[in-house]
Amino acid sequence: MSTPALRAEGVRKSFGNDGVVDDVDLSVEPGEILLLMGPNGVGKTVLLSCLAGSSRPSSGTVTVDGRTIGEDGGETLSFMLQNAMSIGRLTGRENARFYSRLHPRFTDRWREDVAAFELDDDLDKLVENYSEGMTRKLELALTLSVDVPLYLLDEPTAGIDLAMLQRFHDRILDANDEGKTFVIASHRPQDAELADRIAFMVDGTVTATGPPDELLASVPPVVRVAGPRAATAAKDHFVGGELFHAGSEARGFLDPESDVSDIKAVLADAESSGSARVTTADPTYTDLFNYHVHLDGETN
Amino acid sequence: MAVETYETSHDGGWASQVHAFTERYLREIARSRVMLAWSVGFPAVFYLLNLALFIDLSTVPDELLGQVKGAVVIGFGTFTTIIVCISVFAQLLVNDIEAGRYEQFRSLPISPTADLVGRILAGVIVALSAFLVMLGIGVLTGAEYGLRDPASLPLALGAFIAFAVPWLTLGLLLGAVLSDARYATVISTVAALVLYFVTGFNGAEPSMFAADATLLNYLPNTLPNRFLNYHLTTISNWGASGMTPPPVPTGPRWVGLLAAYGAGSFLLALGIMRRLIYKRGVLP
Repeated sequence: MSTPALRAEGVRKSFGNDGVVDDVDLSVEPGEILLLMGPNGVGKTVLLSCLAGSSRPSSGTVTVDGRTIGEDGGETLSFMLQNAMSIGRLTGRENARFYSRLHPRFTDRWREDVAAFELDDDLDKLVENYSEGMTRKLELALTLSVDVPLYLLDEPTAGIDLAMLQRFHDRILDANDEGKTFVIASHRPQDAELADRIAFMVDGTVTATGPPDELLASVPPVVRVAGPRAATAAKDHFVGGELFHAGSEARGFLDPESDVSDIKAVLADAESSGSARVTTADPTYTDLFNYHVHLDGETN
Repeated sequence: MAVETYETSHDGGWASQVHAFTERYLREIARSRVMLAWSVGFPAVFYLLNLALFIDLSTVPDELLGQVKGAVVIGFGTFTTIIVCISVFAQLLVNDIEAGRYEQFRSLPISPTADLVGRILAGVIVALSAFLVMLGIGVLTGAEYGLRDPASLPLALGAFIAFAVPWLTLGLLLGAVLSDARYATVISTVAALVLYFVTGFNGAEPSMFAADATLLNYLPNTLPNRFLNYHLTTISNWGASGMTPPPVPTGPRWVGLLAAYGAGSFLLALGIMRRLIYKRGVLP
């Protein structure tokens, strides 16, 4: 069995009496993409900082390729910390110049990436005048320019539009094809497309881990309902009594004690106009996110 | 799959990192109007106001007036240096900490010494520039300067660097413990003003100093000012200039004390940098 590219054992991080990360165990294999998913404020960034050696865990250990993170000293990893990396009073080009002098394995790859991300015309502007998306493009390009086996990315697609999202994914997947390992923190369900494995994080701890297909197969049946009063009338038949609104419809997870016909019967009584619609659907990554993050995998 | 290779443009070693930090801090300071105004504008206005309202040079003989004005300006120059070193250094550090930038830096194989030396080089360059601007403003108001002897220029430069480091260290300490850049600026400016007046214009007017005047040759704000005054003016009648007693510090003993201040504070700054900023042990 190969040495994990990254291993965290019993990692806790607290600030005073506030525990932010609680007893996290993770192991990431070489060449794997692990997506750390969870809403804002659950401790993903703090955990990532502990994994990157930026923040010392209150307890527990982190090893990179078998060496403690302290011994590694940042030689074999590259960390993108959202909004902290780029320096506002420098231009994009000056930021690149600055970081190029800090890491012995920083390459000129960033030039290709900023062109692919359509940022090359803005490289001579001050970063403080960049939009959030432009900042993210620069940060990702600079992070991936460091030729190391392991990348830790904090919300790399935050503020990125859908068209650019695919280019970010392509760039990460290209690097992964070259054997690079990634741990990516994100709250965007679309980023699940990248993952070999997903680890859901809720309230400072990892609650579920697995390949996307296995996780998708493990969620209860997804039911879509539409109609003015449908969501309220039928909520008792859904896991956690909760439905998630998406446009004109709402989606929820069928309670193990119910079936679709129960919901249809309830809605037939509630919607005298007959406008309610009930259908089952394949789970999406958004459903997966809602199930593990907002319902905490309640039926598992 | 074929893996493309890309060139590294720098070795990422210590010297490369020092270069990166020096260049970065210089660019940031040059682009901050607030820092520039505070570093150069405030001391210049402060000097002109003092010259117009408070400094009485009526008893100074005419043949000495230009040189005595030069000595006064050098005193304001050292005041400027203290302001620049504490205020700018503290502000830059607070800004970095507020932005979470050290979270980023701690993940990189950065030498804290390289960061510190880069900051000090940038700080000294900015402080020296501000000092020279102040000397230039002095010329416009009739101040005169001169090199005492051939060794004066390197001695003055060395003394200036040794003088700047303790104040840069204080700025670093303030930046590390304060959470708001505004506090850092206000506290550092008030501290510099209080020191300036309590020690008789940084040791230029021993009669204003309430304690034993001999101390003026030992304090880290007054010793450099008096030493620089000796080497950057050609005053020979020190009694008429009001700077003595005590005698103006000129010999190797004072150079050694200045070097000790510089070296001691550098070590302290390194400890702060390693322990408080990079969260490592004090010793490598």
